[in-house]
Amino acid sequence: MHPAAAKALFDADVAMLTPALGKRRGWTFHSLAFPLVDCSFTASGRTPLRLRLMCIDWNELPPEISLHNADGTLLTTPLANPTGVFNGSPHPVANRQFICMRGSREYHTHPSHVGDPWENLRGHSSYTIGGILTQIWNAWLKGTG
Amino acid sequence: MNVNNIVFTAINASINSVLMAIDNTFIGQLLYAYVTTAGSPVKEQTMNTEHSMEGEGGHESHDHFVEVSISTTAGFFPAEGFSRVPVNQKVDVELQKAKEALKIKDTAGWIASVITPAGKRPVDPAKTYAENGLSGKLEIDWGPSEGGGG
Repeated sequence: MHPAAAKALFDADVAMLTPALGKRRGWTFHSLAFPLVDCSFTASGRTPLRLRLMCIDWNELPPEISLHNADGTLLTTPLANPTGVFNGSPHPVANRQFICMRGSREYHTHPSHVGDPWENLRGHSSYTIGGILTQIWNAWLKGTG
Repeated sequence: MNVNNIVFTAINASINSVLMAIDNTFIGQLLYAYVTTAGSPVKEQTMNTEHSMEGEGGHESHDHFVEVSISTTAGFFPAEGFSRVPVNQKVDVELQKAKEALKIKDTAGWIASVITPAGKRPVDPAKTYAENGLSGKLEIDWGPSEGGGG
């Protein structure tokens, strides 16, 4: 994927990740500059979850997604009471906990899911950068802690 | 101004007065009755446009409308502010408008919910706002549900 094309697609996707949307959903955007989306989910009574979506080669490849503490340090302990997509065990390639969900690069490169290619999802409305963030957010909201 | 103009203006004013009187009485009452009749399929087909009763002289009750703003990661619908829609209209009507306006290609598996201080509460798009127990000013969030995988 040519970096200029990836950046153009990235910029189009993140253009609607506005402060107004963030305010409504409890999302805080720390970066929306190509190739990084750095976003915290917040909710009343919850420990914030910060995610970094590294979107190099967007959207030929899905984003690499890492989980962080509120201060940006890598999350080294599993989430409390996680829901299904938060996998606390180390990813065989990334060697850290990961989002095991269609649309994350970790999912599509995991030996258990290599038969579920990103190409089948690429371009769908649920698999834009915002769509992937929304799916993770909805999973996070189902958890506690 | 000549005599012809004066006569013409007077006739015009008279016609306008008659029209306004009709609007404020007969048509106005008809529209009011139309809005307040629950469960009419005709009402749902015709009263689904935003601001559809605005400017009708305040006949309608606020109890019969909700104000709706839909947020997605493709944008907001309407872009600013809220749409005023009948409380007996299915939620899906506005969602489909949002889909078209925001050029969202596919919404299979998307969920609608209202964001409250207590958290997100799911909304059934196939039901009306009233049937969902919704009233007043509504911020509806719409997007893909929790992803599969694991």
